[in-house]
Amino acid sequence: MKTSKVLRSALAIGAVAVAGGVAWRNRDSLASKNSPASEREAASYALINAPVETVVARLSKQAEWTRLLNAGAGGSGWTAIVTQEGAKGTIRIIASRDDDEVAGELRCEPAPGERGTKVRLALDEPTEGKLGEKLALMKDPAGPANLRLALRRAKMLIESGEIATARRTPQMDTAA
Amino acid sequence: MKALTWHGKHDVRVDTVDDPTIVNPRDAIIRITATAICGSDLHLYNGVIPTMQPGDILGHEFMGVVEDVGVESTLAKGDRVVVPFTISCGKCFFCEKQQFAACDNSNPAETHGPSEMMFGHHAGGLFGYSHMTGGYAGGQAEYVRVPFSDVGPIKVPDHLTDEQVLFLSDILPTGWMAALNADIEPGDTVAVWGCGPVGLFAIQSAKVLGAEQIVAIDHHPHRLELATQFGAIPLNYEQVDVLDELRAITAGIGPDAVIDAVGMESHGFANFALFDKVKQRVGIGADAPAALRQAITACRKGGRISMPGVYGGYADKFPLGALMEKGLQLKTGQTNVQAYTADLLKRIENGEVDTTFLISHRLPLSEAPDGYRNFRDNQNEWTKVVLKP
Repeated sequence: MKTSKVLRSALAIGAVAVAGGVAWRNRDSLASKNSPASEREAASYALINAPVETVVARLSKQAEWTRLLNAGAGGSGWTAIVTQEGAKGTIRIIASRDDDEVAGELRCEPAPGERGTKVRLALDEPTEGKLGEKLALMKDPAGPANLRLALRRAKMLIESGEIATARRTPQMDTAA
Repeated sequence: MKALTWHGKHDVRVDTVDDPTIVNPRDAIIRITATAICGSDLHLYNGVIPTMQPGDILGHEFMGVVEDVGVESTLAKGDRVVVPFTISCGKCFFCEKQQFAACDNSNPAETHGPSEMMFGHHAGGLFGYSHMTGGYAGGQAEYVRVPFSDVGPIKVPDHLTDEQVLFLSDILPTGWMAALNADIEPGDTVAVWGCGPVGLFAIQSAKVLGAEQIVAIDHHPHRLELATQFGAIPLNYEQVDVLDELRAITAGIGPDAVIDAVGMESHGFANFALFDKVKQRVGIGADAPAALRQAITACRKGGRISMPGVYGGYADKFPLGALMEKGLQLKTGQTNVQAYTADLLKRIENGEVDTTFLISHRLPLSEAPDGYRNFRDNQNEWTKVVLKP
């Protein structure tokens, strides 16, 4: 596990996922190939496409670093902060926007067969358990789909350097 | 710009739409110099491919000149390129295995749903071929945005004409992959159902790859005649019993490999064909696989089935028993175009492969709706339509 690089990517995933508007416990996963460090840097650069405005990361055991991102289409203004770095690629994050705040856990681990990195995301506010999930679904039925979309976009970003879109011009809000 | 847009079954129009621009760093904008109507475009025209939306720009066989590039494109303004119909990132697990058509990152996340529901996994991105494959604008237009332009487009030398190289975008590599998937060995007899563009290129490819006998099956006399120039034995299924003829040609053994270049709108072959058509008309995602059924029945024991024909839904009365009891192998899939273009370009340059014989009509983009109608209704004479925007 290339810790700093993976965490940086994972942070991006967390921020993007939060931007998807999910606010309950849910899990999804994705596999992204292990890229050379140079390609990961390129992927980070391409974060300007991500639907977030600002990501500020503080890694508890490393020097503080800050990455400011331009707002892409659909920029949401969420700020994600890494609050705790756990074992085996697990980090805790808190993301906030205006008065909203959501906490969660990101875990990165090798995918089977050396096929990349499996990323799991769990957001744990405001509900937990099956009843909580049902209540959350009543509040926002699109939530799980949003989380899945956000993770997949993050995977695209990490692997290919950009988020696939069928838009023909930057001004078009939805797929053609 | 002008572009051919889909508005419903048998309703395509030349509309004025927004010009494409660079959206992502690896994009390029291509000014189209030649584009073609594909046999699989007729599935869209006939309304049997789900997730089309009014206004979608059609076209996945195209080439042209680079007009603009994103900061990470490897193309340069003025490059003359042919663009594969498969959109591929070149970085994911599948692209690294040369399975470009299965690219994990080219189909936008918001359009994964239908193909995941039907196929279990989301499809790769394709130009101009429904929102199940990304909803990308196609190339039957004056300009097109090409994502991942550093992976797909192949530069072509000036001494080759557009018509010599245009079909590198789809039907030539599709016919080539169909023949490769048949695992042809010396002495083999290969039977090809459908003498449309892909079938004819599969026949030509089978010859290049060393097939001993090639049998072409269709009901259009002119298309069968085109097949004979590659030494194929023509069988008109309206005039002969195909299974009997194949048995006679192969001394009772059956073809070593069969290629279904017909796909989901097969007709003829009375068994179940009417039933297929009724279900397809109802719009429940049913395929009409009559040619494939016959191909499986005809194939020799332990033989190979190659299936380049497009299927989009579900088939019943499918001869699984024959597949299993005869120990057949089946290979299929959208074409991994990028894996074959460089090799095929060399074969075009050295004269080993010719594609121009196929072209029957050349039309301006403004007459594309007529081209679609005739390509559907007059298939004997209209073997391939090239549009010049």
